[in-house]
Order: sequence, then structure tokens, then C-alpha cells
Amino acid sequence: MPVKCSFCRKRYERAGAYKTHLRSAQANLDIVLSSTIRNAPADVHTDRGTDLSDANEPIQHSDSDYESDPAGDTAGSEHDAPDDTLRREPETEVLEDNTYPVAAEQDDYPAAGEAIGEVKEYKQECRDLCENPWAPIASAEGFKLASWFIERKVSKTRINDYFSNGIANSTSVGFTSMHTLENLLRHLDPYSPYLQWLDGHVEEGQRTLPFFYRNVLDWVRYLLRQIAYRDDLVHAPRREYDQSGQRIYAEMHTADWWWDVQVLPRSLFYVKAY
Amino acid sequence: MSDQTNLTNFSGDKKAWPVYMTIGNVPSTIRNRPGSMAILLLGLLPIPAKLAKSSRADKLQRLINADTVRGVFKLIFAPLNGAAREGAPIDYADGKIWRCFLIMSGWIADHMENVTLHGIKSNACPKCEVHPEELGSRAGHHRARDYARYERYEHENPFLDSETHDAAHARYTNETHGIRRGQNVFQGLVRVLMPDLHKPDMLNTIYLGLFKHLRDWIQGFLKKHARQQAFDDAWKALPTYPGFFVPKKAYREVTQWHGKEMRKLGCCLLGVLTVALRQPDSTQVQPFRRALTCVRSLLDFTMMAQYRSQTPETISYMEEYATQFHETKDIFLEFRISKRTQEKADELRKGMRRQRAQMRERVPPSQRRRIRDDDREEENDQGMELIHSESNINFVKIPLISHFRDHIYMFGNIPKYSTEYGKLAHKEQIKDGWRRTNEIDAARQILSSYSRQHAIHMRILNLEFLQRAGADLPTEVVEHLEKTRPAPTPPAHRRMLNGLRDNIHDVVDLGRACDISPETICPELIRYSRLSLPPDRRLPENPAILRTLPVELLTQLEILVLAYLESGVYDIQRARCTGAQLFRNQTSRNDCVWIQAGGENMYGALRGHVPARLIALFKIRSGYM
Repeated sequence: MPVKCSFCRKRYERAGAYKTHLRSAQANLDIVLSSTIRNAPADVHTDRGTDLSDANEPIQHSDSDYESDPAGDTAGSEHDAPDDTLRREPETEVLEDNTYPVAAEQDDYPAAGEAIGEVKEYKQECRDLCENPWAPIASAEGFKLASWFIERKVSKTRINDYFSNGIANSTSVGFTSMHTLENLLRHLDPYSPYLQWLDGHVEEGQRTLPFFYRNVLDWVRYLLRQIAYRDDLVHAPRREYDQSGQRIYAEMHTADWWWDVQVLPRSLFYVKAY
Repeated sequence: MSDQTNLTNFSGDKKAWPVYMTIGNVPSTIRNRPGSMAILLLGLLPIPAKLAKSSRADKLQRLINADTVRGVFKLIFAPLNGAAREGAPIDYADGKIWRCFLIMSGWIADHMENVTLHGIKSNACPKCEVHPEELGSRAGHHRARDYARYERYEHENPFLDSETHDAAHARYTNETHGIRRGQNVFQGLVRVLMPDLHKPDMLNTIYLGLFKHLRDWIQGFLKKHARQQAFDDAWKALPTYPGFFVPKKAYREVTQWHGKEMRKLGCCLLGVLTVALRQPDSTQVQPFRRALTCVRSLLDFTMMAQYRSQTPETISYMEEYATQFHETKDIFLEFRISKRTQEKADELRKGMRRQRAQMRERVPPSQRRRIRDDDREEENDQGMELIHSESNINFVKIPLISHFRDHIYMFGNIPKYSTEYGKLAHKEQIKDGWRRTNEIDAARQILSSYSRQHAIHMRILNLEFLQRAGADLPTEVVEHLEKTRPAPTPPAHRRMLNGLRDNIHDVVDLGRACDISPETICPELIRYSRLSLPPDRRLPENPAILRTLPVELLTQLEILVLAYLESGVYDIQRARCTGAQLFRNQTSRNDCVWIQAGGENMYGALRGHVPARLIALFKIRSGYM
């Protein structure tokens, strides 16, 4: 069934041609038309598939997908009221751009990064963590109990109460009071020295105000040392392009700033100096 | 290898001024997830005493305060400089030591916080030198702030309060550039451009900033054109829809708006406004069109700004919307009227009346009415003119949105810099800890309480990673991890029906519940099954058999929807349908959904979909299963 353009009486047999026409002729038009509710994620996936092959696939350039202007056309005779309100539903907005532009090409920063050595204890630490996952807490029960206490925000007195009442089987748990638990938790994080708190005081008239801070450098060392983030870490800037060759700006490493401040290894040269 | 640090700062609780930090190497989707523990407290700052406005002693105190804050920041940032200049060897999670350059890339804060930290005036833009009186115009062509120059300047003119010519000049420069004495706390960081530190923030700039004003303007606009009732009617008639919560109060009755409500307002505002401004008379066509264009371009801008990945094309659209907003915003100018302007307008009107009374003393009664009308028109015109020339849309959020474009080019998408994540960290790391303290020496207790939690969490995260990486872990560990995992990821491609109703057993019951006779339902069901269902799942064609099949009536359909601009994350949307029964003792809920009613090429751009209301959710089981 041919579609008639609502602005200029042209008729189109195919959706693709109609869309191209809309995009070129009605570029200044408005309401982003919520295409559809693609309820089933299954649909979504098929759409993603076609995206790659077909550049005219409607959802890809959702923002250029416009509908007639109910604003300019305040008489709004063709559209009845609920229709207009529905058009701006949030979910449809969400759904129509469900294609995270897949980087078709990318361009890595050349020769970024320089490893200057190996961490000696690294392998040993990984092995330790596998072999003795709850260290320094003796057992899985102990760890579970401890994490339950802490995460459920059980107060100190109640924890002590719990042990003094004799409900607990403290031999398998490995701690007998809040005090011993605290000591254990202090050693739970092998890198906690990195997160040491420093304190200072500010004199202000009659009163002294305390403040607390961590060493920024150690703080970064701590985060980078956590293997939980290992595979997600980004080391170097990168330029990504979509199918039509347009640059994609998404995460920080895909934008210009990082590219500009990236420092080459000493063996090459410094690119940037402020 | 350089390494970006991305700082989050948030001040809210009176007793805490925490500074958070996170690193840019962890992608934003991961670090901003609440469970990732990647946004960590870096410091708790001292809170200087709050001062009343302007007295000479307080001025001094204010300077001291600014210096204090600056000193503390200097202390905290001190290790950064060496690392940014020369790089620092850092043990990496992959077992290698890397040379890392730590460079601060951004500072996320609300406007008042930025004002304090950058040492600017509250009506100045932290990024560029836009004059306070030009805030409403399109900024962007203004010179970027050069904080180093300000400092030099202040150094050269230490006696700003003296009466010399130089001091007066310096005061004037400070005034026009909107800087205060006491400098930027980020001064002196290596490889950091200070204006770049400021990050756009959707929550404060758009939702709590521009939308708040927009709301007032629309109110005023509706009042002027007597469309308030129509607006409220449309507002109240908003249909329920999964993921959208329906406003319970009339628009005018809502006194407090939260960020979430503002977001919902953004979703439905244009539709409601369009309905309310239907059928304008001849004088209203132009203003209505202009108002709608203005609102629409602002909303479109907001939508575009939220994209998690941008291309030059999307950015150019965003810019277009911003331009359109600037071109049309003068329609709302009259609702930015200040008291002073209103007084002036009233005076003008009175003056005109007086003048007229003196001029024409004898007018024949026949002409009196016509003349009065003319007079009134003239009065209105003049008053309007005055109001337009006196009021302005100058507030600081406007230049901020004009920096969005450059920010995307420099730093990528905008939502990842939202202050919301700071708020979240605030709750977890400060407020929860605060509640557990005995309020004596609270800071220390907050810190230690959170470190305990953090240690446990981090251990779990590391173990989880090892499990994913295929390390050989004891079974009890795996079991524990399975249990603690926050939400098991729902199986994709599935829709779940929930909320079984008891008293429905077959098609006849179903018909009774929906108030449709079985004679109508059965043929429809059969037609549907013949057209849309695969052969092995079709219903029996005989209505008599169909009536005997067991039917379940349900109230909720859970639909997995791909999250906004994400690839593997799903949101669950719940389409509810309670039929005629009440939902949670409120009104009954029959959500709206889009249904595929034709081919892709039907209904123009709706692509074959039409909106509809759910009447019933049911399931028919054929006898064999």
C-alpha cells in the first residue's frame, strides 16, 4: 500500500524511499516519532541484524525520523487527542534508539602505554585468592555471617549480644565479638593500606575543623590493582566510526580530550605539553 | 600511558562535604553502576561557617574561608602534579607495572558548588566569560575563562578595596567577568585546562534548571490565553502506560517536583500542551505555534543530549534544536517579568491614562466606547513593549546548554557525568554511615563503617571476576556468589505473565469478566489464531471446544525491553491490566500499548502500529498441554 507524504502529496511504494524523502525534504520538522513498541526483545535483535546490512533501516537514524507537526498544525484535525499524547511516550523514545551504533571502524592511538615491569607478587596473590577465598576469615560461614552483619547494618552491641548469648557457633565462624570481627575485616582487603585516611585540621576562629583525605595516587593504585575491573579497563584513546564513516562520541576514550592529553612512552616523544 | 581521573564532588548533608573520585579507565557504564564500587570517597572537607551577606568583617572571613578550601584542595591534589608531569609507576591488575599519568579530567558538581570551587560569581558561567546580562543570548562565542589570568590580575592589584583608579578598574573587570576574590581551587594542576573541568549535568541544568523555568512559563502562557482548564483536563486524562507513571494531581496543584517527575513531565508535556492549545482563534495561531515550537525544541534538545553515543550528525541536530529554542524563547519573555518591571508597566499605564484624561475632555458619548477600546489596546501594546525590553531570559543554565556540543566532542556523551551518581555514592558512603554513628566524632565512624562494607564488597567483586575468568574456585564460593548476585539476569526474549486471577476458568468466565459475550469472543479468537499463530499452536476451530478449554486471566505482563542505548541490558516494563477491578485500591488500570495492526507501510510513520488499551490479559491452554 503506497504511503502518501503528509507534506507534499508525493506517493511512495517503499518505506525506504519514503524515509529518504522525509529526511531530505523535511529536515526541519519535529516530533520524533515514536516508531513502535517493539515489545519483544527478539524483534530488537532482528533489527540489529538488519542494521548492519541496510543503512536505511529505520531505527538507525531515529532522530531523522519525523512525523507531521502537530504543533505547527494546531488545528490538528487529523490527530485526535490521545494520539498526540501517546506519541511522546518515554518507552517509545527509549525503544527507537535501541541500536547502539556499532563501531564499524576504529582507530587506536598508536603506541600508547608502556609497561615498565612486572608485579612480582601478582601470580601468588591470584593463587592465594583462589585457594583461600575468605582469608583472613577462617570459613565460608564466617564470611557469610560477617557480610550479613555488615551489609544489614547490625549494630555493634547487637553483634556482641549475638555472641554472648551463645547462639553462635563461634568455632566455625572464627570471630567472637565485634572487636575481633573488626580486626579481621581490617585485613580482609590486602590493598587497604592504599586507602589509608589522613587527617588534618583547619583553624577557624575559635573552633578547629577536622578534615580527612586519602592520598590520590594511592587511591588510584588501589582501584587499578583490583582485578575485578581488569578486563574493563581502557588504556588508550581510540577513534570509532560508524558505517557511514561518522565519528562516534560515546565513552571518554572515544572523544578528543583523551587523545589530546595522551602521552607517548618516553622512548618516542611527548606529544602534548601545556 | 596517561590516566584520567574523573572527580565527583557533592555537598548536601550539612555536616559532610565529601569529595568522590573515580577513574576514566573504567568505562562509565561500569563505574556508574551502584555495585561497582568504583566511585570512592577521596576526602571529607571541612565546612566553613556560613555567612550572612556583606558586612566588612564577613568579607574578610569569606576570604579566609576561600583560602582554607583552597589550601585543603592543594593538599589533596599535591600528589597529582608529579604523576601528571612525569607519570607514576602503578601496579596494574594485569600483573604489570605501568607508567601512569594522572590527569584530572572533570569535576562534577552542581552550579553553586562550582561557584565556590571556581571562585566565580553565582551569575557567571564557569566555562566562558559571558556577561551576566547576556546570559540569555546564545553563548559559545565568548572567550573561554582563563583562570590563570585572573589570578595574575589579582596578584597585580592586591588592594581592590582602595580608592585608586587601578583598583576601580580591577573591580570593574571582576564585575564584568563575574569572578570573586579567592581563587579557583584547581589552580596549578598540571595538564589541566580549568574551564574544561566543568561538566554539563542533565539533572541540574535541564531537569531542575530549565524545566523548572519552562513550567512557570507555560503556566503563565496558559493563564494568559485562558487554556489552563484544557491543560489540566488533558493532564489528568493521561493514559497509563508501562514505565510511565500517571500524574495524580492536576498540573496546577503540584507544588514540589522531583527529578524523576520532571523527567516524566518531559515525556508528556508536549503532547498535553498540544492538546490544550487546540483550535486557536485567529489571534492565537501565531503565539501558540511559537510556544509549541519553543517547548518542542527544548524537549528535543534534552532527548538528544541524553544519547549515550553521539555522531556529528546527532550533535548537529542537537545544535539545531538549541538554536530553535533560542529563536522562539521570546514568546515566554513576558512571563519572566520581574516585580520592578511590573511596577514600571503599571506606572506607564497610569501615566497614559492621566495624559489622555487631560487631552480629551469632551468626547461625544457615541464615540466614547470606541475610543476606550482603542486606548486599552494602545495601553496593552505599550505595556508589552516595555515588558519585552525590560525582562530577559538571563539565567546561568542557558549558556551552560550551549557548551554541550563542545563537551561531547571533547569528552563524549553527557549522561555519564550526571550528578546523580554522586548522590547515590552520597547515600551509600556517607548517609548510611552517618545513621550508624553515635554522632560524636562522626566523621571517623562514617569512614571506618564504610571501609568495612567496602572491603567485603570488593572481595566479592574480585571473586566474581575470578569465577567469570574461569579460575578454579571452591564450590562453596561459587554457591555464595550465586546467592549474593544482586538480581539474576532475566532470560531475554521472554514475556512473563503474572498475577493470576482465581475465578476465571473458561472463555465464558473471561467474557463475563471483560463484559463481552462469548459469541463475540470465540470467532475473534479463532480468526486471530488462524492469522497469527503457528500451525502447531492454533486454537481449535470449533467454538464449542474452545469454550471448554481452560483460561487463565492475568493482570500483569512483564516485557523485557532493551535499555536506553545499551546493548545487553534490559529494563522490565510492566503492562498492567486489572480489567474492571481496582488496582491497589485506586482506580482500575488498563495500560496503553502499541499493537501491530498492519504492514510496515500502513498509517504513515506509525508503521502499522496503533495505540490501544488493554482490556484483559489471558492465556488459553489447549487440552493437550
